[in-house]
Amino acid sequence: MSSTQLFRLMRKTGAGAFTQVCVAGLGTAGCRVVDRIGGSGVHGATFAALHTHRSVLDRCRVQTRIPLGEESVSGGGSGGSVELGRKALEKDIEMVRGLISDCQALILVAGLGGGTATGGLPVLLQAAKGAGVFTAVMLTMPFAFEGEGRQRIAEDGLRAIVPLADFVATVANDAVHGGDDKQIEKAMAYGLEGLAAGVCSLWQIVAMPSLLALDQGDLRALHLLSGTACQFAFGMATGSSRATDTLASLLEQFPDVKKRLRTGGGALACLCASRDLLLPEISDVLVPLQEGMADSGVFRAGVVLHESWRDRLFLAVFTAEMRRKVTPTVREASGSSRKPKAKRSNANRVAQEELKLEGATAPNQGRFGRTKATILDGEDLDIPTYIRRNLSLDQ
Amino acid sequence: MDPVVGLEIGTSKVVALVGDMQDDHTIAVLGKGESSSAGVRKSEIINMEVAVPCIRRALAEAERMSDVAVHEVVVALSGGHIRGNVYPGVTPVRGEGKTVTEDDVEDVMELARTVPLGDDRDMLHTINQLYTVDDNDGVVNPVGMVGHKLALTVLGFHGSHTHIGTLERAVEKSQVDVKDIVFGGLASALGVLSPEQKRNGVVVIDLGAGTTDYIAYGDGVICCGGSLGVGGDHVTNDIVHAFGLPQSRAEQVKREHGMAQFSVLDAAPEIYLQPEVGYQGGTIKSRALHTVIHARMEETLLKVKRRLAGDDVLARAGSGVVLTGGGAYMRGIEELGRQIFGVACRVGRLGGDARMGGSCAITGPEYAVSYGLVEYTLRMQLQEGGKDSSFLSNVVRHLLGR
Repeated sequence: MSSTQLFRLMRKTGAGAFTQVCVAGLGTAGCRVVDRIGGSGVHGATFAALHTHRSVLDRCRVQTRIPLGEESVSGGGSGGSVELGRKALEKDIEMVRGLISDCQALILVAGLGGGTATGGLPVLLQAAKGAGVFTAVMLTMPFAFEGEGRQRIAEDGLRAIVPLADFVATVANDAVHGGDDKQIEKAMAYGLEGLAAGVCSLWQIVAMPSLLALDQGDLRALHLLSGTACQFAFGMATGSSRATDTLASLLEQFPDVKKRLRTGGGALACLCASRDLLLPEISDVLVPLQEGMADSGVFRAGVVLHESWRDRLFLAVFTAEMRRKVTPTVREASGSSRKPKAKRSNANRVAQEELKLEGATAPNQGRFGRTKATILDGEDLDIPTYIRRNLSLDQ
Repeated sequence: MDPVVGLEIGTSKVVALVGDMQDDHTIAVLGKGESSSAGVRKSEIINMEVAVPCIRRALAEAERMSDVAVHEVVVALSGGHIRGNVYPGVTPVRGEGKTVTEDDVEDVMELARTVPLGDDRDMLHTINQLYTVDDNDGVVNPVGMVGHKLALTVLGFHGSHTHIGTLERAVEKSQVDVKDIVFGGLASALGVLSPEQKRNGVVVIDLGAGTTDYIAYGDGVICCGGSLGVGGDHVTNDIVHAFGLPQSRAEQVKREHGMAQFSVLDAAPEIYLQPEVGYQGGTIKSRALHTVIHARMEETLLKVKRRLAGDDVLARAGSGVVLTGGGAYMRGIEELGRQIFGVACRVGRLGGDARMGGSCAITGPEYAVSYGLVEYTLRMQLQEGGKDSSFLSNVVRHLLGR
């Protein structure tokens, strides 16, 4: 079966649009990303943070926070032990089942190489699989300076994760934090912004009707096509030339994307914007990508409109290599008039400054703050009901 | 028969009840000990040091009132860690002429109850449901029937090994032995239901301070049950959070003014709160208070309903829903229950199976669990002692499968 046929089949057999999505972060990196999303006041999904480290969880501004392995690690983290991470998840798997009991899709984000996420993710995915929940996983791989040992742990972890999930995307920390600004805090903030937006794009692909059809069937098909993890790349920008700037920022930060497109695997591009998006802007971003794709490759593209993107354009590209070895069809990208500008504007910096996510106050769990959370049907019931339901009190 | 003691270590209070079975098989409550609880959250002991003195106080008071020396107790267990699952067992019929014998029944019970649980889980009860002989399902007693295959489903209640061990340790530190541990939801049902209600189908919901336990009867057997780690404490906590009240004052406001269903006619527009140390006093609007309480109570009952819906229980609940626990005192709770479950809903009364006697009068729904523990233990003793082959004894054997 050709890859195109596979895509068609997946689209036919894919379920309808999801309504209940849980976006969960596991481990320190995962918690930071969901904190970024959930803390910005975005609604429409259950946002949850899971960690063996209590203090990281306490800083997380999401309503559902699940402490793991309280009995084994006493809230002090797994110390990088994959075994402890796995046991912590196994011990508290009932809370996880409660979290996903009411959702049809689970978007997971985590950083590999540590203990909690690397050890816990396979357990979590197994539980989700058992519950029939669609799973899409976004993973960061360690920085090069973290050493080969950590890299090896991450790669071993990835091998265990890929067969259990419906879709897996990875991105190297070195690439994700590679914005214009090399100053550590700004680089980290930019990377976090990109990851958060990437996770949001996955969420919106599976949860919301997109303008150009793109759904979980496309994600699953890409996963089946590659048989391994896809690579995630992103670009974002604001301003009058935001379309070309967005594409330029992606290609500059992730130069591999061009090469991967040319080698004829699969690619899925999702352009996220608010409702003021113009048709020419869609062309400016998506056409060059499609033109850069090898003839044998499969390219799927979609547009997600949501007011939370405001004046920002965000482009998420997931690329996959063919499962079977194929002879790459090398050809130069055509000389399209819509070729992105060679010189990049300050798009990244503008996006970062204007799109700072506002903090939300941590929910008050009162006397239950230090007890094991009551997680049922994806909700943390220790948080007052009137808050979770957004009921206004006439005081 | 010796008196027995039921002990409920709840989130808000510890209750010890001493009971005895009289000659006419009614239960006499001889004494009651009660003390405020500490170190317990969501029905789970989180601080042994402060929990044990509370248990001791309740036991000492029960001993004083009943004049019975307490050496062992039957303890109630609740908490969100408790799960109720149905497990099947199937065996070929080996009796002569393919007639089901007692041995076949023993075999299938053994098979159904052999449940692989992880090291971190302990089985509390395995309760027989109904038998199936070939294609004939819903069989109560298959002995004598003819068929090739005998099947049985059992409802198993299991809980966290850690929590059960901690509970046992806390009781032992209070210088009494643990005779048995019973799921609180089951005890509550035994405490308030009549045989007729069980036959008709009924749901019992125990609205405790730390947890909400539920158990349902359908087709004459216990068909499902469980425990949610949410209760009256959550209502209080919501009030604390919404109005910035101290915990004790929020609890008082809940008890005195709380309504599960808001009615403008029944409530004053504003509630005046006297100042006290650490709180400067003030007023809160009734409507705001009841928005907070209603949201929580409605959510809790809806969570229970969601867990019942899978088993099609409500359609078979001819006797409706019975509410117990301290939360059953909440005004408007029966009306809210009726709206949510779509069946009759009422607050349970103790001693559904037997007339109560003795020197100690207890009637409130908050004693359903402790009274149910006494009833459970006495009925079990009666059955195991072989002194009785009455219908009631058979019912206990059938329902509990042990």
